[in-house]
Amino acid sequence: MEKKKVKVGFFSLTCCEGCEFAVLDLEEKLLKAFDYLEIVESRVLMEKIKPAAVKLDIAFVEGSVISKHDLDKLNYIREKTDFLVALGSCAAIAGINGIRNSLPEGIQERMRQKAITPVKEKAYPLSSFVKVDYILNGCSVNELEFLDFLNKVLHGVIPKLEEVPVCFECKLKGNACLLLKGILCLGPVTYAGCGALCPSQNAQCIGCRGFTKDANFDSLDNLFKEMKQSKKERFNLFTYFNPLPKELSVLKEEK
Amino acid sequence: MITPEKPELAEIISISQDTADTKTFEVKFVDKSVGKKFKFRPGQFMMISVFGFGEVPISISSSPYKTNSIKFTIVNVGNVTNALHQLKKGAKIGLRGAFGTGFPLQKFRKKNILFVSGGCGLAPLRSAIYAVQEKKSEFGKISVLFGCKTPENVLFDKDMKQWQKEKFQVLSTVDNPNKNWKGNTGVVTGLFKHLTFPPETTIVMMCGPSIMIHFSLIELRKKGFKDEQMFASLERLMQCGVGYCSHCNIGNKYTCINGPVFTAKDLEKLPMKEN
Amino acid sequence: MNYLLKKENLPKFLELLKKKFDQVIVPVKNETGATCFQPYSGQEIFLEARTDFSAKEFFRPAKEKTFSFKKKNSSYEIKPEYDTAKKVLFGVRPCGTHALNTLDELFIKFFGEDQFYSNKRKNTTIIAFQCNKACENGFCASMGTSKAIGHDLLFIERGNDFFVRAETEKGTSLLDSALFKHTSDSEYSSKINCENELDTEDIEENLFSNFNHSVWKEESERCLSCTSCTQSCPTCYCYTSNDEFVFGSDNESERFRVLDSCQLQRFTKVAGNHLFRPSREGRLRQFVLHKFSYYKKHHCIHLCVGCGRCITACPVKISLVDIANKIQKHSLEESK
Repeated sequence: MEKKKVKVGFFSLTCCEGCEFAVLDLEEKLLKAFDYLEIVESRVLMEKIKPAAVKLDIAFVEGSVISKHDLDKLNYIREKTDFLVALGSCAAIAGINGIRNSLPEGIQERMRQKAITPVKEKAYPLSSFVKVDYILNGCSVNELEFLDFLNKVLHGVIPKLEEVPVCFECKLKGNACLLLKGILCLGPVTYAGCGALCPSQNAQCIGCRGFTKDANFDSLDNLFKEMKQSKKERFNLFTYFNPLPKELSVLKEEK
Repeated sequence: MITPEKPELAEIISISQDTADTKTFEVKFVDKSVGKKFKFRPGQFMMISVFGFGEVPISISSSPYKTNSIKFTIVNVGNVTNALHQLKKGAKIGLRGAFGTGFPLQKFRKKNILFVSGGCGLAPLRSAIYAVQEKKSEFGKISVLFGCKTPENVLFDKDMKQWQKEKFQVLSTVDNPNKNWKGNTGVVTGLFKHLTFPPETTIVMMCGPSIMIHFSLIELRKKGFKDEQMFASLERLMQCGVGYCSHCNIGNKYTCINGPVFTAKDLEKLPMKEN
Repeated sequence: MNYLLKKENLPKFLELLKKKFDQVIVPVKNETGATCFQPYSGQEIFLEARTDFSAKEFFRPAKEKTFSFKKKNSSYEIKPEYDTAKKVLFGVRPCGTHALNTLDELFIKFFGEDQFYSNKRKNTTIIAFQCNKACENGFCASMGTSKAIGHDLLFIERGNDFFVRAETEKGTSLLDSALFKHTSDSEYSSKINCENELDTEDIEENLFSNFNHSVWKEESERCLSCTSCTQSCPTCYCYTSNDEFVFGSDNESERFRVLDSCQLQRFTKVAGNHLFRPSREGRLRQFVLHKFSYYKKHHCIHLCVGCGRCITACPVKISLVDIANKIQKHSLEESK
């Protein structure tokens, strides 16, 4: 690893700040990482932030863009950052904030009117506005994946997003398949990296790490249909964290 | 007892910058007894380890008659090759191999030889060209065709000049010429019209992108070349080099043990698309 | 020499084995309800049917460290990491013993010895368990794998006892206990009537020559590329090799073999992000052809032991037996 410390900042847009806390869960391992990192900005990690205009090597940005304030902040971070990482599903795919994007237009309109500050028409992931160099997806982000990312970039390796579904890791762990038990699960179409956290606890995968490029939505939805699930159930599951895939536009109920 | 996957330490003894993204590394085994026993055929590849970064399959680009040191010509395209490009003279890397079949040069005696290459595909062929150069009297006429994207991507300038001195026919072409480019433009198959020797007594060795190999085979067949006269070196994801990992599987062949050099006759039988 | 062991004494026998071996591996049901092999620590043994997951994990693990590299004065120390623990595998089915035999062809007899595999193989004593009925989707009768091979001991259920046959000296040495009673009995049947049948005649040629048969596209359309098939398979061995730096160290790195799957697009991805096998059709075909055609060409043995796990594990019910039979039928009709 380089002797010169890498300048790192953590930033939050609209979100619960849970991803930054997930990183804190690394405890001693994070302290060890501090040998190589200089935290320049972080509301959670620092007592006092000195919002210096220094150039950052890596910025971790959590949260979605839902307002002009978010967008200004994002543009400011992008400008002074070398390598920008979208941290967590809000930043990567709009995540929880994005639920409203799939709601009927009338409800969306009312939500926008009732918001305390002026909000944008939709909730957006960072990539809608700026170049994102890497994505660490998940709600919340997987701390071991975060550590692996750090370990790689500190050695000059640019990590690759692996095109692997949750099922791959789920089977590696020797779990029984939820789909075979008759439980809806988005494992086959969702990016792995979480160690199949939910399916290992007998809980369905709800797609928090985003859909894979190789996803076979039609076939999975047909399987759900065979499991006698209503259009609404299927729609709600597919749009929990992600925008509705265009292959499944039939699920959208026009109101 | 052998461990086919154990890398052998080697030292980088010289580095030359060929083009903006391509370097040639000259390496030597640290253990002299390993170096003494080392032999290879042109067209064979080795697995290069950059410790901590991983392994990549790279064809040997130096002469099989000079095994004191080995040369690899490497384009910076991924994490491992990028790490290699950062290394300085004296750095240690790991080597395994040589693997694969290589070109059966001993079968080509008395024949005219046509080399067809695209981009960094000239690197594995250079080893074969050196071999032919070394035993020039055993072969007929030699022709080296080379195509690449821009004049800046032209590899092995010095070698090409040397081959011209040896009375080899050397022709290069680029897709996008600049003002100073005096050679041909267009794809490498466009150079076939300059060929002077008869197909019946000629062997073709080629290496380059699969699209180049595909169209070269079509054009050469039209000129009367038979499939058993044409040899091509293929690119696949070789990871173990010994047929264990199955990544380089094409139909019932493993590129790492049955290839990477195949005759066009073999290729005909292999499912090249969607294999 | 043959023996009888009272069924109720099985845990006592396993405890005895624990004293002799570093690890005793047994079939159990895990917390998620899947049946698999785990190190024995008093769990209830699952012997009703073949397990959902094979014992592959103990020979070709999901992630296995192969080398550690240590930088020392501008040079490196390269150290292979062999697993030399003494293990005993109890309750592996005949198809499981054939799976190991099949992998031996590649990892021991083909290109020199792969010591990462062969060390585990040689240090593991195999106690096979004879099936007496067909399992879900199994077609071992068609593959000729219903009789165990290469094992040290064979257990056969017989009323309230296990009838135990010792096949090797290594096996016999484990029976030196009052738990085992001699018996003059020596007969047992390995015949299984499988509902699922596969016509294996000329299968390697027929499948390969029907590379463009419509069945590949039809079946692959509903494939989720979830990799359940390759991971539950006892013989799917394809792996990727990865290097990682030891966290917090500049000088130490490790190389791992990680189980891969031909059903993933990344399996054929090369630098520049080019995919050699992008379509689902091609990937499904690779799985089936590797099983019944390619491996046989190189190693004279099918890479399938007819356990039927891939069929059971598939959420969308794709069956390699149905695919292969469809092509076999097509070939037969064509040859008429």
